[in-house]
Amino acid sequence: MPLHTLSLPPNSELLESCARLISDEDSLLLLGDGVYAGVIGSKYLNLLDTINCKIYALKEDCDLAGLENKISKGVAIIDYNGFVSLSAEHEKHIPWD
Amino acid sequence: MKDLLVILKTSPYRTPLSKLALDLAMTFATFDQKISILIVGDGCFQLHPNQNTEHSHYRNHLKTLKSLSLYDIENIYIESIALKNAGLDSNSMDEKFKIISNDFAKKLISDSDHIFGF
Repeated sequence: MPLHTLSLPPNSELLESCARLISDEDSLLLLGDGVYAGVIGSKYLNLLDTINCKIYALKEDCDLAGLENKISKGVAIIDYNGFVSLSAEHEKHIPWD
Repeated sequence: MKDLLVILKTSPYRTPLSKLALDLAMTFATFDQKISILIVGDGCFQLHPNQNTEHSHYRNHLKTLKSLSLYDIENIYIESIALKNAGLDSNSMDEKFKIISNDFAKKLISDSDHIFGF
């Protein structure tokens, strides 16, 4: 089960490709500009909601973007320590950028 | 005097482009040029309040945008559909910013003499 990371600003094509290839037991981490995909009320959250695996967003990048309280409940906020744990838990990594 | 338009379409911080757009606008204004800014697409990510740049070497782009009136840049336009796509509420926007339709944005583009896209 791979760890998927998305660090580019979301667009429909990218998120649809992700959604097609991510299995339920995988994990997806939003970081960098990828965090905008988790914003409540945004166009991209609907697409993100079609992905059934565990979804995380990096706290430092959410704070920089001003999204502290704007990330959907379905996305768990993690810090760099959480990022390290996620990396250790997954044998494979798929970057979507 | 020529009408200049800076189109800001990239997200803040990940690339230097959006900072360059703001710097260019301020530079033109310093030389008394007539400059407007049009925010479209991912450029709207600049408008999220509570951006925390404290732990980085970046300037807060929203604060910069709000301070552009000090440079006599009064025309900052936001395309409304892009704002909605970004999950932002037009009612919560600073009154300095003008929220416009895409038809108005097209007119703005065709009425400008020079356009700089970032």
